[in-house]
Amino acid sequence: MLEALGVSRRYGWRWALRDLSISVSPGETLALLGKNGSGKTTLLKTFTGLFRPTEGVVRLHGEQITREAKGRIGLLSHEPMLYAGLSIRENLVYFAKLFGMESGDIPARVECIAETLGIGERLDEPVRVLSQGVRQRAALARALLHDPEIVLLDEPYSGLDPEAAGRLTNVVRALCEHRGRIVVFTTHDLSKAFEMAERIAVLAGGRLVYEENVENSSEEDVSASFDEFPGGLA
Amino acid sequence: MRRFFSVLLAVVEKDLRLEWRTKESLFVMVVFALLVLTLFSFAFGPGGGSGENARAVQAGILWISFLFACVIGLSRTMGVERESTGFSAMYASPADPSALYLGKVVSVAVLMGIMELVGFAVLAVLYRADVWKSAGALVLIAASATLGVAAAGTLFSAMSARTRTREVLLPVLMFPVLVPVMIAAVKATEAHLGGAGWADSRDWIRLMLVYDVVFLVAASLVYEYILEE
Repeated sequence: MLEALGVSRRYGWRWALRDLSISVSPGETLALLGKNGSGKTTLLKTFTGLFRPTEGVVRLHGEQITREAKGRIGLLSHEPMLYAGLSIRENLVYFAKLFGMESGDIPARVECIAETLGIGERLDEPVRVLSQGVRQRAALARALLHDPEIVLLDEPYSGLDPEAAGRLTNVVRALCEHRGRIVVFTTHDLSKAFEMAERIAVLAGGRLVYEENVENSSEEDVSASFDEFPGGLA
Repeated sequence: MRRFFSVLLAVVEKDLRLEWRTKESLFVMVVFALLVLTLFSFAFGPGGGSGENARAVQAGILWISFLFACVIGLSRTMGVERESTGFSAMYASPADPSALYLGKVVSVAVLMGIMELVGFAVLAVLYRADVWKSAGALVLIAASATLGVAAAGTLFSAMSARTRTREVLLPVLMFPVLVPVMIAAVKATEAHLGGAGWADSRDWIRLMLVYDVVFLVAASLVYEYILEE
């Protein structure tokens, strides 16, 4: 189980997260919604161990996120975290080594994940010449390369055309169907959240303002939770 | 241990491959060092001046040019990490931060080493310094000093890379810490260019080696906190 317990995170004087507690069970998919600046990305980065909480604690299966535990987490961030001067293949091989994959297994795994995401034929192209959609898929390949137990996707559909978004939906759905895997994704798209997730959580001002299973929830309820806060729905 | 070296080599391979493709850092480093050495050769006249101080001046100019060129190279190398959010990617991985740091140090040291080869060749031509006579000693001195500069430079450039004032901050942080290495490098180089030999350089080389070990160990331990956002 991945859980945040009383987590707060401050940037200077501004609180990005305030006393937030939430947990995600193995096999569960959680959609995080909220307007820009609501704390979604900060929460995801806190889950990965990239951000240290100012207060509170993040736990994975009851233990704090250690360096070893990071090997079980895959993050697709706003930033692609890819080197523009390297090809997709070179990037993936580099990150595979950082994640401790065996050298002998890396080429096959790179090919496999690239084929799954539809970028198999573009593996040897430098990242700098790729379109936003292909770059996003390359970044997703980096995040999924080591077959992580926890997949954190920060607005995975941003910048994708409908075809690429459809392909990504299939990949995310396959991830969600994998028994025991935890998937958390952020989105502004309510219909996507209802389509993909089992549970929906809404953040506003760094606080958790709504949390409900999809079957007990409606788009109106979620929208209303946005409207309770200044600024409304993003 | 195998995993440690796998990560270290992966970082070196990635950095050198990126540099080979763009040649941004190395080109700027070499051109800068060449410019400084050439300009000072005109200022001091053929042979880099005369009298007892000639070798001291040559050694000083040489290492000052290397140090400033290294700052430019480090800014560029770390700029690539900043633009690619490479620091976050490294920190999000389970890789040992010491291996990540040492990989960066090796990459920077390799680039510096290439620049120094050119610098010593220019010293031999423009300043008529007999670098061949003490080539072995000069290689040892250059290696010790380069390791120290790369160790400190990598740490401080990573620290300053995500700040707005990074170009100013890097030399301000780095230069005071590198004073012992620079003094030792200049003194040891001067001793060998002047023909004094090991007797005058041994202690300076030891100082550099001790500095290298202390700095590499200390920086390896704190690099994890520098990668953190």
